[in-house]
Amino acid sequence: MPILKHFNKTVLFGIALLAGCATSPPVERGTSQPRSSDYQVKYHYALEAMKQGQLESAEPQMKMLTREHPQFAGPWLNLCIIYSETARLAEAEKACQQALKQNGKMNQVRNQLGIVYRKQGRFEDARRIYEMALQQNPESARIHYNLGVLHDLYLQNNDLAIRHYQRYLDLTGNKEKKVKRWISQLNKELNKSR
Amino acid sequence: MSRRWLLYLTIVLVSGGLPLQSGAMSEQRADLLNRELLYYQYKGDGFSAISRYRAGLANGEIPAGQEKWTRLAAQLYASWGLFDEAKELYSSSAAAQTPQQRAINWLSLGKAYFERQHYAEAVAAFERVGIRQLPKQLEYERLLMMGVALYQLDNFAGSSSSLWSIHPTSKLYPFARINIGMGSIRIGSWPGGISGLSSIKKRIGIDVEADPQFADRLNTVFGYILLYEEYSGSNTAYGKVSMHGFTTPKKKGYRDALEMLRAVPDKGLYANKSLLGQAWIAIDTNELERAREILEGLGKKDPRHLVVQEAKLALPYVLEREGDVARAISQYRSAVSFFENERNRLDSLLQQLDSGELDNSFLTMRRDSAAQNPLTAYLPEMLLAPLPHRMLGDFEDINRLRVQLDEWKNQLAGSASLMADLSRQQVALDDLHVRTVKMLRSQAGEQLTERRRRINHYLNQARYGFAELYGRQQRGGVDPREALVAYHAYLKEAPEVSAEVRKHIVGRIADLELELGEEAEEIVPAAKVSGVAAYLAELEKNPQDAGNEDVLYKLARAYEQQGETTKALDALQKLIRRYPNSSYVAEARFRVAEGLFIQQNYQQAASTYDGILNNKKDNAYYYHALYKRGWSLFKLGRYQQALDDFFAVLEHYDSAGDLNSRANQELYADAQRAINMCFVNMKGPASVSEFFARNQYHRYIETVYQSLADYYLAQERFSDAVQTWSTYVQHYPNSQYSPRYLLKIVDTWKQQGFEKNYVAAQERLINDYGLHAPFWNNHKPEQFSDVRAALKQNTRLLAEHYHIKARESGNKSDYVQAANWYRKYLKNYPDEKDAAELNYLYAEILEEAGQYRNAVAEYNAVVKKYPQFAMRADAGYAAVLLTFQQAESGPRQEREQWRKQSYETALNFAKLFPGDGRASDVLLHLAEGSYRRGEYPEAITLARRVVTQGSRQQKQKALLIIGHSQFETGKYLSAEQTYGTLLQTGRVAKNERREINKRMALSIYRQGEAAQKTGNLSAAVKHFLRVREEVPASSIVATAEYDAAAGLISMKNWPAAIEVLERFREEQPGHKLQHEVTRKLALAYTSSNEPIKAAQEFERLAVVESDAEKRSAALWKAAELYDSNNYLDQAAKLYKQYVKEYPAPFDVAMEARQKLVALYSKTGDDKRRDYWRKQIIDVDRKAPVSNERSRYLAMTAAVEIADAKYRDYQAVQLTIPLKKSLRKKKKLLKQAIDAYALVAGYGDAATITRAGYQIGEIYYDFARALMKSERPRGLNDEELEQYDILLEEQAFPFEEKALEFYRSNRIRITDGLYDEWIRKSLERLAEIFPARYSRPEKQDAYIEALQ
Repeated sequence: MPILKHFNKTVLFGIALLAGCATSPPVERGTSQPRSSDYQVKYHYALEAMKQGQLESAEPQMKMLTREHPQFAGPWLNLCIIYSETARLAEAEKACQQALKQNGKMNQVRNQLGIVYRKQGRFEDARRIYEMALQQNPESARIHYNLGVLHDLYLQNNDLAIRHYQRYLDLTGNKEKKVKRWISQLNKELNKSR
Repeated sequence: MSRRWLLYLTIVLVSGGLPLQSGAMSEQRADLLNRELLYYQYKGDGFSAISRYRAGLANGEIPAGQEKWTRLAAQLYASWGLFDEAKELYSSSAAAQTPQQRAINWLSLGKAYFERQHYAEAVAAFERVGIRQLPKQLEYERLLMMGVALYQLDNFAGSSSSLWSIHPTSKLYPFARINIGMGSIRIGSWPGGISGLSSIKKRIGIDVEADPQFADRLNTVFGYILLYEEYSGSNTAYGKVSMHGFTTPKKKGYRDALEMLRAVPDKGLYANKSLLGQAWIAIDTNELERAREILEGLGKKDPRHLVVQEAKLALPYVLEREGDVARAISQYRSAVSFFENERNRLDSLLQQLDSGELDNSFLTMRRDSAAQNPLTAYLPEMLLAPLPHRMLGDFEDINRLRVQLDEWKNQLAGSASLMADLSRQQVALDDLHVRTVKMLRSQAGEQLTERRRRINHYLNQARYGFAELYGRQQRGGVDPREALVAYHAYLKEAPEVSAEVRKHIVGRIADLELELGEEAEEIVPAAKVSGVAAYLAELEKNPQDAGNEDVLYKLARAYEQQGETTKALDALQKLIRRYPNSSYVAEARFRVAEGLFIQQNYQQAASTYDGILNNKKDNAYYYHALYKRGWSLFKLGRYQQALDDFFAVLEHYDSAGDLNSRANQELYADAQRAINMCFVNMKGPASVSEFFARNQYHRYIETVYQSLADYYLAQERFSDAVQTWSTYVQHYPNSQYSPRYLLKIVDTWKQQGFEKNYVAAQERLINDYGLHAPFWNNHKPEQFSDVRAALKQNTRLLAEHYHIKARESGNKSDYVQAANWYRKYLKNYPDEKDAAELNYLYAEILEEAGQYRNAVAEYNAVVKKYPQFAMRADAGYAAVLLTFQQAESGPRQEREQWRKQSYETALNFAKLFPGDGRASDVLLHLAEGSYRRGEYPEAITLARRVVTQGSRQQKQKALLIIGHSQFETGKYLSAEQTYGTLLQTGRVAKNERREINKRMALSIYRQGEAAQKTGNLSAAVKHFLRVREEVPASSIVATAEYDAAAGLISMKNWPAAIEVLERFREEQPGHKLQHEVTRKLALAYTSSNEPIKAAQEFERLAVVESDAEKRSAALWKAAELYDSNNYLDQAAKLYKQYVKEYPAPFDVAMEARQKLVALYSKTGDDKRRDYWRKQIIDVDRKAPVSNERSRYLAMTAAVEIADAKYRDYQAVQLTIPLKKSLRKKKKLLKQAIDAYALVAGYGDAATITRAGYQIGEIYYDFARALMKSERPRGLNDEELEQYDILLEEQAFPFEEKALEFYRSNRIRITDGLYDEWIRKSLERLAEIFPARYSRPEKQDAYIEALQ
């Protein structure tokens, strides 16, 4: 059927023309790997600001970085620190949780989260996270120190406070007199109350 | 012959009117002022025209001496009647002009004179016109006017010659010929006149058709001329007429005359004259009835009209010819008195005229007043004569001019020259006035004298006719004395009496005087020649002369005439004795007997009469004697014998037929009277019947009975009269007189008012001589139309009698009688005109007797049988009413049947009499019935018919029924429309209007309900709203409005809903739905975001709601709305009100207090705020049951109070002198601590930590304040150090106290508590005692790691 064929050709040709019109240039797709140099530079600048105590300037940069690569724990933790320091405790908690999610081995996060909980008055949560951090790394002097403060000032469990201060002293070579003084003071209070 | 003379007079009268003129007017030149002047002139306001002219002349508008204006002025003057001025102007103008112009001037002047009817002056002016100086047309006009003027001056020859000069081709020629003809007739030249007129007669309809009166007049004149000719014989004028084309045989003249006279219309100037002419023709051709009709008709017209007066004379003449002597005599008599009256009137009028009494009435005469005054009635007619008519016109003008001149003089008092002019005019006018009055008087006098002459002539003609008739018919009811008077008056007053007539009249007078005897003398005292002396002398001269019997006889007569009766008798007896064979003896004997009779010597008189009667019967005195003997016997009481004589007298005259003389007639009548008197003096009717049983005078039976009855009637002895008739009827039941006598009995009783007898007689008449009585076997009904009519009438009367009686008495028997008589009548006279009426009455009596079914049947029969009967509709209506009545109040078991019948009857009535107003009533009644029974469609159908045909009121009622029916059947739209129509037609009674309004409103409302049911909410709302618009006064307006609002709310049309609700509130104060309206308004305002208005509504509700809960809720809502919209005062007020009015439920009241606290916090009114805080605390404390919220609120209040106290305390600085400020601060310290202790008292963890912290703060503050307190001046370093130590010592316990409170808060962490206050306490601890409590965690400042 020559006529029909011809007709189909014409139709097809028409469609092709239309398709030709609709074509747009190919979209460049992003790669899964960051171009290390660029991101790290940004991170570096953000850290620089933090180092200089310019939290206000650091905050948006860190936020940007978490948005750009939420899989990195570092920016989350830094953001958590910024929030914590500026008394935005709920945001801080969330940021820390994110950091923990991205990297569960990063005990710095637990340390920071313990502080955030303490600031919120969630002393038991703080104790639990510190203890988790100790499970991760029982030798972390700083965690013992902080757990000691938590028991001392807040949970008012002087025994445990003394034990963690003592562990801190042990791990750091018994050189911090201030902490020694605290232990003796706590012991006195213990004796007084008994 | 008098009639000939009359005719002549009439002709002269007709032809003597105003001569005919052509109406042609010369053309006027056009010019503005000219036109203005002419305008005035045509308006008849000549005075203004002249004034305007003179003004124009004075102010130079009109150039003096210019020909055109001079002529115009002349015309004006002339037309105003100022001929001297006109003449002067014409002459002055004429001098300077051509002969033609002069001719025209003279013509104009002549015409002016002519028009003012100054004929002599007119002729003089016309004669001044030169020969052949005028155009032809004007010349003919001049000739015509001159001819007419001369005619008026009685110069017929001159007139004729002038008129003959008009050429036959001129259109004025016919007028000329007529006037020539008239003139000829005036001078008695009939042939000339007739030939002239007949030649014109041919041209009537061609040239002069435009003037109908001309044709009428010509017809009249010509008719009369022909009539006159015919009357006086064809030998004279009529023969000549024939030569001019009227080739008619004799008597055709009458026909022609009649034809012409008939052509004159019945109304108009010549109608009467024409009719009179026709009457004369009718008389001559012996159509007397026609003549009489015409004359009678004329006689009813204006009695002052000459023709009418002649008709008054002609009428008795016709009657006389017809043989109706009695009427002729009475008409003559009334004519005589009429004409005498009129003549007297004219005489007194003439007298008044001469004495000048009427001068003043000349002016008012044209208006009808003179005609209405019987004294001056002839004056206006006098005005129709040409000369006085003209003079009166002048006179009126002169008077008007005089009045106006007076006025003018006042206005123009300043202008001397005009004044002089005016004064001159005035003098001339006054003179003219006097002269005119004189002339008017003499002219009027002449006219009236002529009229008097005519009337006098008529009068005497009437007298003569009257007197003559008496002679021919002595017993025509005429008193011979009247005739005598008439003859005498005629002789004395008739103007011309021929010798022949005089001789006849004198003879008649002698006869009458003889007949009247002495009486005549009283009427006409005439010298009586007494012959007694002469006769006595003769007897003495020749005592034995054979001729003395003659002398004796005459002597006796002479004595008799002188009243010497005895001497007369002596003379007669002497005669009888001396000359027993004398031809005078019989008379002498009779006279003697008469004398004896007069002397009441009846016995002797009777025997003397016997003497005469013994002689032979051809004796001339025989029957007179017989008659007189009868009287003598009567006087002697011998009635039976007297009767024999009297009947013999009657028998004689009847058989001899000798009753022609009056004397015989009287005698005969007297005999009858005597017979009657005999029976009266005997035993009345009984004697009569006895007499006729014995004697053979049967031909007199009826006369005798009737005379006797008449006698009794005259004596008012009615029973005797009735007895007389009754006796006759008993004896001769089959006589044709019997039913008639019964009729007389009926009439007599009727007239005398003996009802019982009357009814009995009627019944006897109908029972004995009714249509089926044996009497009619022998008599032909057609000869008894009177009886038959009476039968019929009395049947009807009886029916009516019993009808009335029944109504009065209520007796059943009377009803039965009445019904029977009606029935009888209807049976016997079904085709009579009044059968319908009787049938109607029959139906009525049946109804009255309670026979309703029959009554209805009869009413219906009336309707059916008598289609022409005027009361047919009434009958139909009566049937309807009766059925209605019975259907409503008849016996219960029959009502339904009656109702059906009433329905049929009524519908039939409405069908038969659609135009009858009651048809609509009937339909209305039916419709009402149907409506009452709930048959609404039927009611509507019936009522609709009323709407199309009923009166306005009926329509209204019908509409009401329709409307109600539609309403009842739920057709509310239709009902509304109907009610609307009803209300629009207006004039609805107040209470009805109220009801209609109510229904109308309901109709509209129901439409709304219906729409609502179908879910068409907006339509429903429209209807509801319409209720108020259409029927604002209706009681359901409120409901409708409310429903409308509800609908609008459903539709969420808030603005509209608000409008309706607000209106409702305003218009329906006190309505029970007002509260609901308020609720709805609250909703609507809330919904349409008008919170304040909503709040106001809630506020209202807070008052009016019946339920306390709702009231409180509304109050709360209102307060809340005010509060949230910053109407804080309002809000505060309402919250307070709430607290006051609704302390329970406790918690809400507490919230209200809390609101007040919040509110006053907002306004900064601390005092009030704290008051309410304390209130909260107090109330909470006193509450029997603890409530968490309340406690919270109280606690919060306590906290806030405490905080405030704390702030107050904190604000106090310790300054010098320290003691004072210290005391103050300490005092406040205590208060603040107490306040916080109170807060702590609530036992709540949060408040405790808070109170703890705050108390800590208070102490800490005090410690720090001490340390910071102002140091006393003038202390050296050492002293200052000492002082500082001292302060420290003082401060320390406070610091300790503070620490204690902070620490106790810290310990609470171990209880699982941690809050702001604990945190702050920890901070304070770290601050005051850092060695123990400041131990920060170790943390990263940042993290380098990325992952």
